Amino acid sequence: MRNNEQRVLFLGFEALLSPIRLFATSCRVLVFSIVNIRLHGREITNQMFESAVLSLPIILFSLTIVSLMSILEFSWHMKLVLKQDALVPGFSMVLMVREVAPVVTAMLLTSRVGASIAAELGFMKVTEQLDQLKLLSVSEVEYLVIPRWVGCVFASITLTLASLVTSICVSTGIASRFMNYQPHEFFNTLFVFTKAFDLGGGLLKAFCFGTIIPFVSCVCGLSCQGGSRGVGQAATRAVVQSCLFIIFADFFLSYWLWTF
Amino acid sequence: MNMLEVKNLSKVLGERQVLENMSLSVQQGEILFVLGRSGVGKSVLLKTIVGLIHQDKGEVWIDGEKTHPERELAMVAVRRQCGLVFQSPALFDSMTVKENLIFGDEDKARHISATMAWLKLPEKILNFYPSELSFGFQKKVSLLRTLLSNPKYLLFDEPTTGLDPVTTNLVNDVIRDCAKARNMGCLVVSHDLQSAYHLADRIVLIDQGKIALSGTPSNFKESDYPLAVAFRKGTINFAEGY
Ligand SMILES: Nc1ncnc2c1ncn2[C@@H]1O[C@H](COP(=O)(O)OP(=O)(O)OP(=O)(O)O)[C@@H](O)[C@H]1O
Ligand SMILES: [Mg+2]
Repeated sequence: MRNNEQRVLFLGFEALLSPIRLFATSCRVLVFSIVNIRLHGREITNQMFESAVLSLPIILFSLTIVSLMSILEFSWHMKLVLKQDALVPGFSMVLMVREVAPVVTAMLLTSRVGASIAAELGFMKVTEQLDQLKLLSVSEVEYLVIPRWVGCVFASITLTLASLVTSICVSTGIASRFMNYQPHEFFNTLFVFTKAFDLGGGLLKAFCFGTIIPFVSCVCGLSCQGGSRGVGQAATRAVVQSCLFIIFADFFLSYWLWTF
Repeated sequence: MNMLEVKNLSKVLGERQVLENMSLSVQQGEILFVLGRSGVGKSVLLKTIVGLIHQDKGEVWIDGEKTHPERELAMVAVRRQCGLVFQSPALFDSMTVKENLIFGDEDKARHISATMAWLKLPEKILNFYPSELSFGFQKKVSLLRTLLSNPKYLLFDEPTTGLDPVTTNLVNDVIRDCAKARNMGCLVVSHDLQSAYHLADRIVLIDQGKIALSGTPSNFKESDYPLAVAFRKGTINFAEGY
């Protein structure tokens, strides 16, 4: 019993420490490869395209629905308490910039990109492609991890911005169609509570989440064992662990940026 | 001394002692066949030599220099001298055949045509993805990739398993050429007894993690060691613990 508890504790620590260790190694390798001009440019652009451009439709669609819901929901609450909903645009924008846009984008990226990273690297591991990489003296951090990191950070930041723009358009549209706002009137009240610092905080979150996803997923893929079952488990672990990491990181960042 | 030497190599994987005090050597220009039943640890032996698996005990020496598998940077030179052709083709599936071949060193492109002709591979496959090739072609491409880096020692992990008789003969010819015409040292892990009789200068038989028999093909043919007898007959006497 005691042994089992220790094992679970050890595995938990391992899950936490491995991505951090890989992150440290990658920072070192990144500096080294920039100094030696040994970045795999084509691989990096591929990853940027795969992570950002291919995720764009699903993220814009989801964010449209989420911002629509948040406007309607806010309006209902305000009318209930204050008997009017004039502050809806301002409040919903703050929520969008600080929380919804970075977090929902990151969650969707995790399920699309994180799972695919873990499955791809896991498959490479079980088919000895990673061993072959070592035989060719190509660093797996340099060739596999860093391009995915750059791709994910790029995707996370640009998609967060894109989802903000979408949500502004959608909420203006909804408000003028269903809530008797004039579009310009709604638009003008959108930014009453939002400051540049909020946008900076939201983008900092996007950067952190865009870093968490590839490192957690790469660790899951690179440590994958067994055959197809191992690959499946690696993908599942990547999504679950990335989501948990993102939720924790979101809490700490929000506390540090806006409450502290 | 121009040779690849393995000295007292031991490795435990999981609960099992896969390699136990294993010693062998291959000289340049020599073909050594390593035989053994499935799961005895032949692939583990080859991966240990190039440092993909770290041994628990023992040493690997190349041309009189000891290798240090724990130092990744030092292994770069070792892996340049020792080419390993994996049991599975292990081609990068996101790249075309050509990209696979030149990956890591663009200079290799210059020798592609000649080497492809040697392996009787049509040039049109260069633009194919590995998944568009049959298993046999994938294995040949994987062999081609290793040959292109022109190593001093070649380690083959079951190079002819799963190939038709014509391709098997072709691969055997390539192995012979590598050793005799190009003076490479070849360590071939195989189950194919006919190829071994045909090509090997020496045969080593591994049994339960240890070297059970080492000698020329004619030594192997005459040996009355139970596993050698079983290999020749193709049947196993289970009463003797096999
Ligand atoms: N990474 C690993 N972790 C744990 N055990 C392993 C690992 N790799 C190999 N083994 C075990 O080591 C033993 C030897 O495996 P190996 O692949 O070397 O066999 P082999 O002699 O090459 O067999 P075959 O002829 O079927 O290819 C097997 O029992 C295998 O289960
Ligand atoms: Mg094997």
